[in-house]
Amino acid sequence: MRASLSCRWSSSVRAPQSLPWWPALVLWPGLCGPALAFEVFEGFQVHGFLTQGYFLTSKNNNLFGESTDGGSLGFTEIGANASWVPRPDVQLAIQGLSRRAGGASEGEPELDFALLDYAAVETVDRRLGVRAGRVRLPLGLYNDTRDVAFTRPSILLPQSIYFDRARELAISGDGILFYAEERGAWGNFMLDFAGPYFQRIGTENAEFGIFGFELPGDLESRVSFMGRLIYETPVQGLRLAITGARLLAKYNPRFDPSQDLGPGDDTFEPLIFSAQYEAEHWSLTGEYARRRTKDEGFSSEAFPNFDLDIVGESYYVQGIYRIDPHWEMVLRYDVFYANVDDRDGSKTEAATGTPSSFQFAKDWTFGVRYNITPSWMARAEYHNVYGGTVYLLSQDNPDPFALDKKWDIFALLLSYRF
Amino acid sequence: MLRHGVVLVKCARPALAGPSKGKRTGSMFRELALCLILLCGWPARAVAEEVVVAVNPRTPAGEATTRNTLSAIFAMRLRAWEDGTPIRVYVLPDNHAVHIAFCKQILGVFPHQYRAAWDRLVYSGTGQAPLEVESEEEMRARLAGTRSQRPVVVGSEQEMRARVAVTAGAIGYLTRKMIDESVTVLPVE
Repeated sequence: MRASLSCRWSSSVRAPQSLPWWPALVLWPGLCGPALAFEVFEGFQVHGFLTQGYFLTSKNNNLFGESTDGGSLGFTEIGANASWVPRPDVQLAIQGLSRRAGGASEGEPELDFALLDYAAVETVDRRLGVRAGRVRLPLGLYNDTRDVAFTRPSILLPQSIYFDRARELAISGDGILFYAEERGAWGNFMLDFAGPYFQRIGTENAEFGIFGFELPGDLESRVSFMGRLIYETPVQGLRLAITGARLLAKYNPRFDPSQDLGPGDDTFEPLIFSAQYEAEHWSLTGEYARRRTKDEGFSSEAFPNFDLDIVGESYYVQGIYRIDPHWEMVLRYDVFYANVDDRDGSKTEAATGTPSSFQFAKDWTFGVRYNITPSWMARAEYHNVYGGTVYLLSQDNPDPFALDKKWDIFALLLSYRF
Repeated sequence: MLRHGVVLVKCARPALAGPSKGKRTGSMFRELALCLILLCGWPARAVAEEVVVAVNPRTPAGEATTRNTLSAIFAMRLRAWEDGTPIRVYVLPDNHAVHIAFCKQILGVFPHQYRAAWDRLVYSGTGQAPLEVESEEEMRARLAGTRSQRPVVVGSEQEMRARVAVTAGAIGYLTRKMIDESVTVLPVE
């Protein structure tokens, strides 16, 4: 979200744990049962996924564990969900997730979503309903299922918009979501509006995601809103979307102003425009985002210049070509600017000492995907990155000044789903 | 015929349109030739026979349906028939020639688009996936309300009612030659 640096409270890098055992219990029926759709009894389904990644990075830049020397297997995603439709207009759904991703998470179980969905109106051309609980947030094209490797266009999502380090803030929230769909000859409109809801700011990951380091006091979510309107045009395969959000968090300091930040308010307002054209053998996708970040009241005796009000910008263009049902290629150019008034990061470097590579990113990605069966998939991917050190987890890279400005990522991934 | 078989089985599908399955044992050369043809971009030949929408005889779908209704049903965003009976959707695997033909010919959508839509529902907690069956024989049996190709003897009137209740909303698709008295064709207007 925003690149700020401080070594004052940076936590030490924790050793990655071994794989947790509990997901095996929930995955077992899927592995033994039929491929895809596993129906336990009428209206009750169980699904899941299992992904293992390998990351090799150049120079000193660690991605998901210590990835520079011989690579890292520190990336694992295991998830299982259950859904029950007791009557056609009601659905209960829950998904648990275990994610190993370098220093950000060590595989501890997390509740991904747990919701009650009620469709008040459901006809051929109209839907109107509400979800309550921990709901998936409507953000851009890829957030809805961002932990499921099968649904991603590449191993790593375009980081300029789908920051992995801020994943918990983007993926789901606790509150209410309203949805409406209207279909007709002029196209289809799909509106999702989440709010009021609270952001998932329960762990230090949220603080790392927003500020780049762990705060001494407590960060808490305030009532937030996010909405997305998708328009599927009458031109078959062309969809457009706009996402807007207002995410608020409040900081309660633990120490006095000589050692801590002030009691500040963090406001994050992203606006994302998305477009996607899907043909039989290829697709073209682009997203453009403008983000306003405003911090007020944080500046203190110890941190006199902490407050800010900046606008960031991101975009990517991505082409996918399906050679046959098994093979697929992806090519993408992904650009990020933390502050549109300092696109090369030089002003920030001069003023604060923060390396300029934290203020922008230009990432060329080329990847191949091989669908082994409908439930097994393998991928390989190469990234050439200029800047982009803000994408790296502070937890894996305690010294920001040791990071390289030009670096590469090579990644492999194997995934199973049912 | 597992991994490599995926391609061969698919290419061998046109033989299904023939009078008997025995023809599938035709020469390897012909299968390879068909594979080449398919790779060169004549996938429309994969299923020579017409694919039709099939429902359980008790499914309250009316006399006919529309493409819009079918789109909503197979996208899993319409979950009840007009009288409130839950809709049960059966599909063949993504790479099955009959599934590909159904998606393209009847719904006008590519199979991977449906898979993406179902994944979005399943992994975001906003819906459910259709029920997947392995073969057309199994599809017909499920639509008819029997789990196997043999008639099922039900133990009691209650079980019969329960079974009918489950299958009364069933909908799927079959090649026309698979249609018999156990399932009903639902015409698409």
